[in-house]
Amino acid sequence: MHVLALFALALAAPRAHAFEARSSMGAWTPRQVERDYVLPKGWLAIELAADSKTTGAVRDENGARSALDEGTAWHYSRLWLKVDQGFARRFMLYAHIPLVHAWLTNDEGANTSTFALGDIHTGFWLQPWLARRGVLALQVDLKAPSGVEWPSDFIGGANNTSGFLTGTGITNLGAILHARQQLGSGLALRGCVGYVHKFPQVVGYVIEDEGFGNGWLSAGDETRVGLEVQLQAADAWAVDLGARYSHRAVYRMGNSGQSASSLVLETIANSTGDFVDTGLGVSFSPNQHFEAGLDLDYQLMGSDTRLFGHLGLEEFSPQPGLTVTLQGVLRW
Amino acid sequence: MVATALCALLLSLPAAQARAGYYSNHPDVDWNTLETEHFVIHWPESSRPRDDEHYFTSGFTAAQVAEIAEEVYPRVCGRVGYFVEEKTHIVIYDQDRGWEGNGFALAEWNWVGIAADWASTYRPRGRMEFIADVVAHEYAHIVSLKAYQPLSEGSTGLQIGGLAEDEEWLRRWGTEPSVHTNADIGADVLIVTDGPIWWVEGTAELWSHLSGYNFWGSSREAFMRVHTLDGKLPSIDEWTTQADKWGIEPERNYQSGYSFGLYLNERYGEDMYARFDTLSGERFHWSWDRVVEEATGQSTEQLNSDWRGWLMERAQADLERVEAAGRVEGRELALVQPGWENEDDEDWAELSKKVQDETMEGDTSYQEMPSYSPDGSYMAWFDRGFQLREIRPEDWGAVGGTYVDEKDRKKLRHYARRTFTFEHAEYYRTAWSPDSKQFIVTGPEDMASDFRLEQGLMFNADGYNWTQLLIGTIDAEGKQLEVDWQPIPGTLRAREAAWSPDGGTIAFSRYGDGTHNLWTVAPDGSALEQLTFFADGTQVQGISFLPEADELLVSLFRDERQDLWLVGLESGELTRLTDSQADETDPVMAPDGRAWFSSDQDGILNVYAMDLDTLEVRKQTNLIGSAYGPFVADGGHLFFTDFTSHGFRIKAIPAGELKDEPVSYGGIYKRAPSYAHSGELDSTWAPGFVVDAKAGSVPFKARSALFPLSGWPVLRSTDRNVEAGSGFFIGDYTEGHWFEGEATFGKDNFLWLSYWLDTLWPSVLAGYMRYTYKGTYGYGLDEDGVVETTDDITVVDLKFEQASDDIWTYVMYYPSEALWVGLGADASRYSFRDTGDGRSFVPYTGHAGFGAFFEWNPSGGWYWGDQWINPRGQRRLYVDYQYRLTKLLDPEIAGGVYDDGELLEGYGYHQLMASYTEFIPIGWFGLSEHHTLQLDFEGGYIDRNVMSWDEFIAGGRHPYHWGSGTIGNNIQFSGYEGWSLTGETMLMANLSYRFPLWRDINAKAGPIYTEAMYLQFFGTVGNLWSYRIPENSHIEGWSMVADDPDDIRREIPGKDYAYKNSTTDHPNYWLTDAGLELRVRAFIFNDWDWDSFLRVAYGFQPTAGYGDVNADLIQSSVARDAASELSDEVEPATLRVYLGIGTGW
Repeated sequence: MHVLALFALALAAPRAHAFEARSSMGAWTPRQVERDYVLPKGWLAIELAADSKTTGAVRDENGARSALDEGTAWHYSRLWLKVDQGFARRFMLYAHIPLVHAWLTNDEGANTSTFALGDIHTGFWLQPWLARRGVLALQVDLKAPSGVEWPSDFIGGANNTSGFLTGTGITNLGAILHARQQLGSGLALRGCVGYVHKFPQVVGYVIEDEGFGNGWLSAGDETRVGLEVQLQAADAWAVDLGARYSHRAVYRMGNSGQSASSLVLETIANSTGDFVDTGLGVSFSPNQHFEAGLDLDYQLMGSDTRLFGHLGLEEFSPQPGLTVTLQGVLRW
Repeated sequence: MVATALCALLLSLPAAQARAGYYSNHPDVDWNTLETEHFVIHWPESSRPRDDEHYFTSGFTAAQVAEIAEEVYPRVCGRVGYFVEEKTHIVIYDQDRGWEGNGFALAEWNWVGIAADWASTYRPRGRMEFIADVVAHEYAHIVSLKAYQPLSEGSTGLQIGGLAEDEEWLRRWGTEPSVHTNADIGADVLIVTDGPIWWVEGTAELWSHLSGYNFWGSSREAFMRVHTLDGKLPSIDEWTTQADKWGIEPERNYQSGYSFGLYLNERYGEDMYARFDTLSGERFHWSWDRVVEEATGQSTEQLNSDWRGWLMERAQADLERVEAAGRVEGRELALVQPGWENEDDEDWAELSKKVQDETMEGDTSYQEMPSYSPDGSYMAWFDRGFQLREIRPEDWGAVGGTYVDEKDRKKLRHYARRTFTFEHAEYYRTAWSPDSKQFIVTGPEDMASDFRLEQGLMFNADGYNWTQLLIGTIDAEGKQLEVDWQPIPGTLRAREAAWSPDGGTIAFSRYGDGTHNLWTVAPDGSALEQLTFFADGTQVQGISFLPEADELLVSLFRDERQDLWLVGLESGELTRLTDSQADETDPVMAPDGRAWFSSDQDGILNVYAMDLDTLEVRKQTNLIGSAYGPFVADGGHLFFTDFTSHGFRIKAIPAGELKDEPVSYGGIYKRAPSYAHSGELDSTWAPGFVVDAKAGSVPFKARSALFPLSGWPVLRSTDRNVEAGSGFFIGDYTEGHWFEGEATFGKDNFLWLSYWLDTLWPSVLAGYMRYTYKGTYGYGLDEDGVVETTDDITVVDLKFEQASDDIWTYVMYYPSEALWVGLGADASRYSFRDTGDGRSFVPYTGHAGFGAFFEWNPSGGWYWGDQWINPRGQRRLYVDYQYRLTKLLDPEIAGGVYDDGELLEGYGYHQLMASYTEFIPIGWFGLSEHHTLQLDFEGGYIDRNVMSWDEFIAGGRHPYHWGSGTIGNNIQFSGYEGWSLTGETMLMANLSYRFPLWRDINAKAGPIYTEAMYLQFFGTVGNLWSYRIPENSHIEGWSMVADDPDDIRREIPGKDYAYKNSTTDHPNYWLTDAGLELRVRAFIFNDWDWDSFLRVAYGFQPTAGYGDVNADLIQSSVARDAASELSDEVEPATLRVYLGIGTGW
């Protein structure tokens, strides 16, 4: 948290013009339920968020939770640096940069872990109408394959790996439509529906069975729907409760065959899936410059999470469990 | 590797940092900070002793700026109801020469910069109220450009670009091109808020006017009048963009915008520019015309048309008034009669208006300050520098009536030989010695020979190059008129001068802290004495000795008035001659004993003559333009500068044609002493400043005066992927520290940080870059190893990731405006990872080097106007030496180089590289203009065999990698694959011929303003040679790196073919290519360079090398020969296409 402290110090310093407020900045909305999806023009928000999940189970081909061997535990934590900028009154840009800590404790108590840069999300929010009780916003999200896609060993399996992947090696492009309707003075209903396309790519963790070399992975596109109720419990406090559903289409794998412009792909069995998560969050926003939050997310329902589980690829195979997120935001 | 090496090269090369306010570093200057309610003013003061010749202070200017800025604040902010809460930092520049009479404003950085000195540049505005005008103007920019901005001030633009290289791009998208053609296609688009220059500058002028400064005077009225009458107002497209304008053209946009604002306010009864501001700030508009339409309900076209009609009515009224009184304006000074002054010139009449306009504007917009030697033998004036010609007044056609026949080459040659030119003098009236053999001009402190001055080959160790007085002695003995120069000691920062009738005294004005004072000195520099002690911003302009040599006639700007005064040389008495509302400027004593001067007493600047005894004033001219700098020559002929629609032009009126009409001239003052030489000001005007800058200031602290953190989002695409991120920059207002960087993330991750330190004599640069690159390629497994059979090839998909880490530091210095030298050191490390490596990168090579560079560029690297797309008449020399070390940290990954059975661990080498470019103007005996022959030579030598990545690299480059607007030579070997040619010896010569297809297009479509199109043909010959074992082969590894020199031998250019880039059946002794390039100069969103090109080049020889030589995305598994790792792939002689849309060329 020392980075935040440093910024806070800079904001407080007299004539520290690097972070000086400007007259052209948009007005801040103190109450969370009334807030737009986009930051007001000219505002910059730096957020540090840490999420963590620990689980002792996977989901089998029927989507049922299946316990790992006794003593085996999967920990997946991310430290996010999120930068949001109110680029214009109705247009916000963002870059969300994760550092991933993937960690497996096996039944013998041995730990295997990887700490590295994950896949970075950049994108924008466009909100055509501002400061209304009901608003719509479009989010376009680009997920770049910036993480580690290199297995530490050629032979897979939990007992053979000495490290995990922190990125899929694949670029995602998503479009998500968000809506918010304020009910009364202290309640808001928020929903979203979105589609994420995943571009086929040669990835480092697909390895040819014979000879040498890598192969192509065409990850299934994803459809998302979410609904959330937000309650303004007090001037600075808000609580939200929601659920999210996502569907992943079929995954395929293959190689270039006999030319660089050909692609021979085969379907990966049992690779489609449906997941439902629920979440509870609380946020504390004492002033326009600072906000803190706590979120709890739990996977209620899911499909087979074993396909990419041994690689640690949570985007493809989100393991069942409770995710706890702590966040702190500094804005100016 | 290619991409990594590219970026490393790009970012480790030092580039001259563009600094807003000064040219040289001045560690001997102390910066002070004066804070007021809404402003923070940073002002410089020399830390040298007060008696040092380079001591200066700007404390008075700072106090003046503080007062004016606070006065302006509510008036300007109130225009649009936008009261800026953040403090604006105003930086005063007074240590350097070069941009006097200027200011700038960067609204998003709350930054205004102003020069304390306006030198000779502000005279055409009439009265000399520069500081007030510039502060009001620039602050109006701050307010208007904040209020109009719909985007965040922290990032006022968005950059989106991409580059698709070679056929790889087509293949990656599943297309199999039927023709073997390589195409590099790049695009770069900036999205910023539209703000045409007519509005941007017009608002600053209008609002400063409405705030009580910078008012619409007679010089502006004349400007619009002559442009309106002559049909020379900028078109509706032209007035949107400024960066392509030069000469008088930028002023056309300024004044038109100002005038248009006044017109709108009159028409609508409200400040319409303020309304534009408000509307623009509410939401993003793709076109400013939409803002205008929303605000007024009228299209810009309609309003522009109405405004022209409004102007014409005013101009016609003025014209009728002038003509009713009889026009007396003389003729332009020219040896050959100008077509536009010859009613019988049918050839001229048949020319198009565009050609006529261009001809009339010529090569200069500023002909000024004529003066004649007392004996009438020599005329001096300014026109692209100081001009001296041996010619009698009557020999000018404008005076004597007879011009030189344009076919009389002998006479023209005679005048050419009897003309002397010196480009380095300031535009002040020349002072003549009584015997007409010598004269005085204001020249550079760092005076040198003509050749050294023109080529920038003088060494300026202390960073100061102020002005000083120079005595020129005419040498008329030879065929060519020559001048010997001698500086007058003790005259630094001198402005104008006058020479006493007895020849013993020179009076001159000296600049200091926003104020002029009069001094006297003997021609040899002795008897230096200060005559006046103004410390209140008084400006002296026009100095002339009275015949008795006991008084000086001057024009002073004091008390917000521009009036004539007399100054007693012995007594120091200051006697007021005029106290009028009119501006009286450029006074001079004429041979008839009268004081001649310019005045706008009847609304138009005309020349008047005053009898100092009777105080009778007679009007001598009756112009439709405006008169400046009058001078009466022997015989009573008047020479002066008239403002015309094609610029400032020297005109002459014979003595007998002068109006010489007595006029009633208000405000003539009695000749009574009003100021005693006491050293203290006893004036009717006291500036009344309550600010004591020195007492109110604190020492400048960079950490307390930082720009707001800013950055530009960037979105780039390469290799069918997208990288997104942002650049950012921060620095302090005095530009002592500058920190910038860029971070983009995606398939490839990029971090670049750079820090400049400019508080020492040299500039210090330090930087760091990390670049990770994920690459994918196919490995063509050829079962039978026979190239001709393709059915047995299987493509193995491979992916890898590389990382480079680079650090660098340079110490650089500018010995002159044309010279740039530096010492530097850098180090790099390259790492690799792929399947099996996990998160860990494996370092495989390390590199380090130190060296020095030298650049000579007489043009100073500035490319204005047509020079941007077609540099000509210039040259550039660049030499770089480095000693470098390479360490193979992991020889297996690095390429497995063996020498005598041992893995190579590392080596050191010397590297010398030089390039020279000459831009030769070609006129074809006057048949063509703007044609240029460009010669480029590039050579390099590495003193031992090195691995391929340390060798010189050549091949076609797309400028997207090098940034928009870059003037570089990217055509060398563009007929060959980029980065495909390597070697330890490099020799290349390029010849290109460039000519205009269409100049002055000046057409706007959407946000794109297109200015010019050029075509150039080019061809390159050269090669890169390496080492070989005695036979024709390389062995074992990417390059033979032998400990024993006898194992290998260096290929000799011309004698040996370059083995490495030759195919087995085609030895390339020399490589050649040829091509053509279409260049389009354009701007996007008004003033952002957006240059495009289409280049087609053909490489005549097939080439070979390492890896995927033919760029089909499949790297062959078959080696070229048994002992080499060179690929068996061949790149045939082929056509290459480069297209850059908005990328520069």
